[in-house]
Amino acid sequence: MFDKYYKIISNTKLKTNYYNLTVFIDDKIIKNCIPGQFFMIKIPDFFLCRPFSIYNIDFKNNKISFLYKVIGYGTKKLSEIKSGNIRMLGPLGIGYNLKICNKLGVNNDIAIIAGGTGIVSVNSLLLNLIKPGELFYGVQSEKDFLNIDKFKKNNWKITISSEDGSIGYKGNIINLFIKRLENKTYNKKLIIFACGPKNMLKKILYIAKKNNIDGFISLEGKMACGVGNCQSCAIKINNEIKMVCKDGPVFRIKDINFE
Amino acid sequence: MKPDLSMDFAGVHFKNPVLTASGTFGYGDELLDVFPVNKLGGIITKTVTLNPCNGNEQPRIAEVTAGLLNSIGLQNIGIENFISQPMKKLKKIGIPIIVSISGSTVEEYIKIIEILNVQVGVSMIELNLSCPNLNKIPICNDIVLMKNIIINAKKNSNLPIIVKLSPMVTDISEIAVIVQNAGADGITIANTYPAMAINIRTFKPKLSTVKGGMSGPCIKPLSIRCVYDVYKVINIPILGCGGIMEGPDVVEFILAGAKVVSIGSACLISPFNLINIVKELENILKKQNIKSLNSIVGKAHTIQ
Ligand SMILES: Cc1cc2nc3c(=O)[nH]c(=O)nc-3n(C[C@H](O)[C@H](O)[C@H](O)COP(=O)(O)OP(=O)(O)OC[C@H]3O[C@@H](n4cnc5c(N)ncnc54)[C@H](O)[C@@H]3O)c2cc1C
Ligand SMILES: Cc1cc2nc3c(=O)[nH]c(=O)nc-3n(C[C@H](O)[C@H](O)[C@H](O)COP(=O)(O)O)c2cc1C
Repeated sequence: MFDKYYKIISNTKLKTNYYNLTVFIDDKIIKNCIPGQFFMIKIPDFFLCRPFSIYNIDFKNNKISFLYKVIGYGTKKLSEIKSGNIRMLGPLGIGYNLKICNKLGVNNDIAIIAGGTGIVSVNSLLLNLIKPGELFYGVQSEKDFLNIDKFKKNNWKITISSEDGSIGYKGNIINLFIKRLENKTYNKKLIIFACGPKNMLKKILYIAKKNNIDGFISLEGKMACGVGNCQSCAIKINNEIKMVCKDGPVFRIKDINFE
Repeated sequence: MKPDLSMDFAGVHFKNPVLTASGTFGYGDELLDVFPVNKLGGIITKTVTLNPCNGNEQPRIAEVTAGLLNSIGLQNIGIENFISQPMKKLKKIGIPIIVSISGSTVEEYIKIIEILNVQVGVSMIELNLSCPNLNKIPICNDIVLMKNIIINAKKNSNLPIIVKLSPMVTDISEIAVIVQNAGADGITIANTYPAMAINIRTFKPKLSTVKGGMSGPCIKPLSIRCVYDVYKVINIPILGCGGIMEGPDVVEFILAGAKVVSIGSACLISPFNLINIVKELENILKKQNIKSLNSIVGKAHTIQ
């Protein structure tokens, strides 16, 4: 955990309401960054920091980036910063356990299920996985569809849906995933990685348990501190109170049950 | 020469006056591997109750201008789990550990204190009297019960007892005198301020509990006033708390009459803020040629 100012390389608009923030990061800190982890970013004029998942880790050029949606005052202000330094606390939380991910991946098929900005968290994971799999990516509408070239380039099979039908299949991405499970298109056991809205993750957890599928899900929670101190992001998992920020945000499916 | 930041407070020696505020640094053991906790003056743990407590529904924080509201609701693992888990690590840190406790009856306080009495490594107990009694009235607004809790806590404890007050009482000086006369060794001023925020899009209050406690820089002048007033009427030492963000804020509390301080919201932004505050304090004293922090406690009362 480091509390530092980082030099902004760029903070550019990708499409309406979506931005990519890229900063320089030194060796010492980048070495500690694991896909699935997040940073608390201090936005001028706002008291609390805002949590953002690592979108991309570029070890070669010492850069990390974040991809965020403008949803309120804080992200709006963040999108207006063009240069200078930005204060961030991180990397924080438990990311995807790459060792386990790849152990599970060797003998199994892999699927990633991402809803909305949930694509951010799994994007950082992609290059660390032992082999390509299938991406299920669901958005509200074409307006929310983010670049997934990295998946394409790495030979992932891609299934897209939108609630309003403006891109991909019309409907919820989970239904497509369920259909695929029912068709038994997978040769081996399936390992999944999922990130997205809480309701989507709840359903996925249910499906995973029912079909005896292991893997990881990444949760979100309203948090003030990001390090386990304020306890505002508490959730009940297996009847125990856990902190999304400190015990997660990534949890292993076989370890959890939540209401 | 290095200025002396140390303070003796309620019989315990602190190498500097910067303590974590209850509930804003977990149980105190979580960050040991990634943060130099031993540079702090001391730790006040999250408030612990006799039995585990789940706390309130989400959302339980909301940001406001220059601060935040919280309604965590004393979520904690209960005293037995606290002793068997975090306390094991806390006692090895080497700085004073103050355990914050709460209950709704005298008996609950006594039971917790009896458990803490036999623990190695606890330096002091802070009674969080802002929590409700059985009739849902904050204990510090129920004078009879409050006195009873303090008297019995003192009788049953072999550790110093300090009392943390809510600032929302009719007259905090009057209550502070009652706390002192009941035998407390020190007093923490103050807890959060009742407050509220509403989402103008959904028309709903921003906290599940509707109202919550406000903390952060927006409350600092309010709490400084409380410390100043209380200092005038009591002899037991004061632990100042409320809105400290940087070194100068600590000096302000000390000048108003506090001997040590606890810092909450600034620690939520980053725990490293606390380390910076210690450094800043040292620089301020150096710059103003003040040899010891202790020499300026309550100085705002004599110079006017
Ligand atoms: C671990 C984690 C990783 C995240 N990663 C990303 C990401 O990669 N890209 C992205 O676009 N968004 C991400 N989010 C959500 C992002 O933090 C919020 O969109 C952002 O905090 C909104 O701030 P605001 O001031 O614009 O919104 P406001 O609604 O004005 O914020 C008010 C308060 O609510 C909090 N808040 C509001 N929405 C959320 C939310 N969904 N999750 C947590 N806190 C929230 C804010 O932090 C702030 O304290 C992540 C959240 C978490 C917990
Ligand atoms: C998230 C949060 C949790 C808190 N939990 C407790 C608690 O368990 N017990 C307690 O006595 N005070 C609790 N407090 C109050 C703080 O200890 C402190 O008195 C208050 O926040 C004012 O200080 P500050 O402005 O430096 O934050 C809490 C405050 C916050 C923000």
